[in-house]
Amino acid sequence: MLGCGGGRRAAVTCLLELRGVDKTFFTDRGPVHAVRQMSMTIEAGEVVGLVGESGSGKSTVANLVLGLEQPDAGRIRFRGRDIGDWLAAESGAYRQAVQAVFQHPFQALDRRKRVGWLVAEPLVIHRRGSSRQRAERVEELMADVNLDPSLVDRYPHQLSGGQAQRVNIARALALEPSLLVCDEPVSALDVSVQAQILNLLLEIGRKRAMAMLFISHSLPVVRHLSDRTVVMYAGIAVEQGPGGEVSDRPAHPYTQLLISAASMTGDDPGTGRRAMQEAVPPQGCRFAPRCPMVIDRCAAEEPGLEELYEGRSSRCWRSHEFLDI
Amino acid sequence: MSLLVVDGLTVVYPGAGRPAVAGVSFEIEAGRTLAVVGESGSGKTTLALALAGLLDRRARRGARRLEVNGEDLLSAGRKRWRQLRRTDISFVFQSPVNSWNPTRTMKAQVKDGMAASGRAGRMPELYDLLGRVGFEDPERRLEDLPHQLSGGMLQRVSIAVAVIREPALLIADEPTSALDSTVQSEILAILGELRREVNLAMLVISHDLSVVSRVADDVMVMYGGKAVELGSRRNALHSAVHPYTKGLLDSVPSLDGERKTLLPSMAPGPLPAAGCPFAPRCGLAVDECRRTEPDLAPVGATLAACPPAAAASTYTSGSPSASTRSSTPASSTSEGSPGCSDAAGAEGPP
Amino acid sequence: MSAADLPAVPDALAAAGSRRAGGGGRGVLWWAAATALGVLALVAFPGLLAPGDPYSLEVSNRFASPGSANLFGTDDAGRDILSRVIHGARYSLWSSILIVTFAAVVGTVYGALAAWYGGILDRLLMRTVDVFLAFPYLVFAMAVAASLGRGLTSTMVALCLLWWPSYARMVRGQVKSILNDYHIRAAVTLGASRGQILRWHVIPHTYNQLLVRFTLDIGNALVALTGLAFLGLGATPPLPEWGRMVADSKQFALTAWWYGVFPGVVIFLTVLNFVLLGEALRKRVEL
Repeated sequence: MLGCGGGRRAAVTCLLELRGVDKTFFTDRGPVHAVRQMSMTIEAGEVVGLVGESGSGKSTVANLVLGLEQPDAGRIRFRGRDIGDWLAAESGAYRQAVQAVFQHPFQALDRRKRVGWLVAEPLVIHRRGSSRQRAERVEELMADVNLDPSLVDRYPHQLSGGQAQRVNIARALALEPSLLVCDEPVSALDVSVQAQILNLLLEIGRKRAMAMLFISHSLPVVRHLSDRTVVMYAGIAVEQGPGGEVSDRPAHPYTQLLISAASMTGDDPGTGRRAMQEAVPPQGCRFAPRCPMVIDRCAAEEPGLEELYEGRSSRCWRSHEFLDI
Repeated sequence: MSLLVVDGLTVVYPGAGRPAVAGVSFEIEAGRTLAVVGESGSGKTTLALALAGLLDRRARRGARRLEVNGEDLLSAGRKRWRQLRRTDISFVFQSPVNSWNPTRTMKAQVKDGMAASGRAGRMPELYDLLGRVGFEDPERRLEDLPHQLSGGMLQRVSIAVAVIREPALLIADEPTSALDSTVQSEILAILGELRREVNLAMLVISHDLSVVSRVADDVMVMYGGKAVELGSRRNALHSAVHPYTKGLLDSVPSLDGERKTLLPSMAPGPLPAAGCPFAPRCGLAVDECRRTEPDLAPVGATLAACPPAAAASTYTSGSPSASTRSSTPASSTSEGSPGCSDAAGAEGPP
Repeated sequence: MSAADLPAVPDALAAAGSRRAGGGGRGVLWWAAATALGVLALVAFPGLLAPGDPYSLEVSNRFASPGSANLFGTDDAGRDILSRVIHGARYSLWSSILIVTFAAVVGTVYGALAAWYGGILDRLLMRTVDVFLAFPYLVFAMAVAASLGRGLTSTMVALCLLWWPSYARMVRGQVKSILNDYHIRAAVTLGASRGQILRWHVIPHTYNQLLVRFTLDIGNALVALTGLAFLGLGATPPLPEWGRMVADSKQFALTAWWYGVFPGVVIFLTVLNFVLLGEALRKRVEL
């Protein structure tokens, strides 16, 4: 669908726009369509949650936005300009504006460098300030992410997982980006540490009016943080909607499945044994082989992304029925 | 009868300040599942290794009782443990990919496993079982190499092989944390179903409360090597007493909570040299907590190792069991054995 | 499992493990390092440490057996063998160190470039390395000696040319694997340039293995160098090069055993020392 803000609001507010993005990887076992016909937008200051299982293509979306991969088809625009252009002409400016926090806090840090060096690295790369000003900035950044200043001389392996992830966040914030891509930033952390990191991201996003692309396999986490939620399955955005609507009133059976998988009631979610066929992408809807709500039409014809009402869209023949609209 | 009885199990690694597992006691009855919840450093993995006789040689183990199927295992030698692991105690590991040899077909490896436990002739039964857990056309698909199957499929095979031996005890160490959430649900459903069918005792180790809530009858929460809360699933997850359990439950975003608010989170803290391991991070901690290590004692419907929380609950709920809690907590595990079956008894017939 | 707050159990295991392994390795490491320093002192100040002049001929004192006047005895020209061995370190050992240093520097740059640019350049560079590695080194050294004339310099040139490809191959493999590391992705998204990534995040990760390899190779190069000298490809008289001394002693083996034995033992011990040092370092680095 849809340009920025559903094409109705001014395109100026649109920070990032993906339109019809395809990405295929060629492996020994044939081509893998990691991302297909992906369209979404992020407005300035908006937190967009991207939820899906591994293999759903959500991390590929992150890599595409970060310019670590190039799309095969479709366009990714940042502030109205193709990111290929950005990276070719003004890669420094793009890197400053778009930063990332990755899943594995320790592996993302060079283990031979000290914390102070690591936090200062983005400033050195982009030639910000004198070495004295940088040292002051490092102190500020560490305070911003609640890291004890005495940790500057530590090596990454001397940190806890939560501290290491804070270092990664401080690095990402050093350049005051307008978009922060968080690819599963808490899934490698202990439960009690996850809450701290989520709180930190929430606070920072609010304080700096920074947009975020928040990627996670956990629907509750995405629901908690996001202004808008996009659900991905097998490389396709199957549903998107504002606020908690996607998880409160799912329009797609896959979202329903995610909800029952996340519930703590202890009831058997009844995902159905059909879920276990791992079928090759079929003619029709990709989710049909796992879908408990499947109808004949699903196998024959793939549903397109349909706007249900403003800001809410889904790829399912039966969405209207589910939402009762 | 309890298939697994653990009383006062302690494991110490040389050079470590606190024991990795400190005086843990519980029982699991046939057909029931105990979930052990804890974060890294809680001792949950060491506990599992101790129950399988797989502790590092330098680790020192002590216990008052350690029994599987009525057999005393405190005196079991290496050879007996090996035998037990082939027959009475089965394992399902976290990483389905790493549990299999990548260069041999699944069938060859499965056959070896079956032969080792003297069940080589029961392959047809295994195929049948695999079919029932959603592994289609097992005879043909087992000809594949492990990397040709998905993680969920591999874990199904691991579970089927573990269960077909009809062990008394199945230990599953983070059985689904390498899998996607919807696949997790399927695997957990399979585990639950088979466990009821085969009537084995299951110990599931996990850091994920939603996994625990789906699979467990009883829940034991560990922190710093100690069991801090033990009770039926419903009580431990919905009316938790120990501040750590409560903190864990509160810090997870839910699908019906308020969005975009700060989650209550526990400040990190070190493990102290003495006293309650959670005291440095605890809002309820009093001086006594820093001096003596509390043991599990009945509080409301669960067992919790927290005298301040117990005291608080006497006023709020007036629970009779809280008032019987003695102020000398060290004795609670040695008298009788308040295993999880006691607490679970309130919920339904054992 | 989670990566968070250091797990108490593996920590304890790791601590116990390193204590145990470190206990055996550390003694060897210090001992070998001290000896290596001692040998390097011979290279730096031979004049101070040698009892006499390695070149002064004393025909009257030919073939003096080891004794208080000449600790290692004298050779066929009456020169003090101990002094010659000590001065020889500057030719034998120092040359080996120079050869390996050259190989390490050139090989590192070459291998890093191949890995970094990849594609056709990588293939081209690595095929060249294969060609070098396929050469029998004796034949190559003889060919170089034939074209440059005999002497220590031409032998060194030959060994330098032969030695760097193995470093190129090792470093290329390492850089390739480091480039796949997660922290490189993080550096790319921070906007680091290729040069910065290579300098800050890739090359420093090769140091440990390079150091181990370098130390081991000093011994290997010494064997090659003295071996070639023994065959007559190397230092020319009257330089007190160790391999040359052993070669010269051949005809007197029965009459003056000390002439060849002392330089030979020194070669053996020096090589052994650097190999032990390298292995001890490897253990240290891999823990």
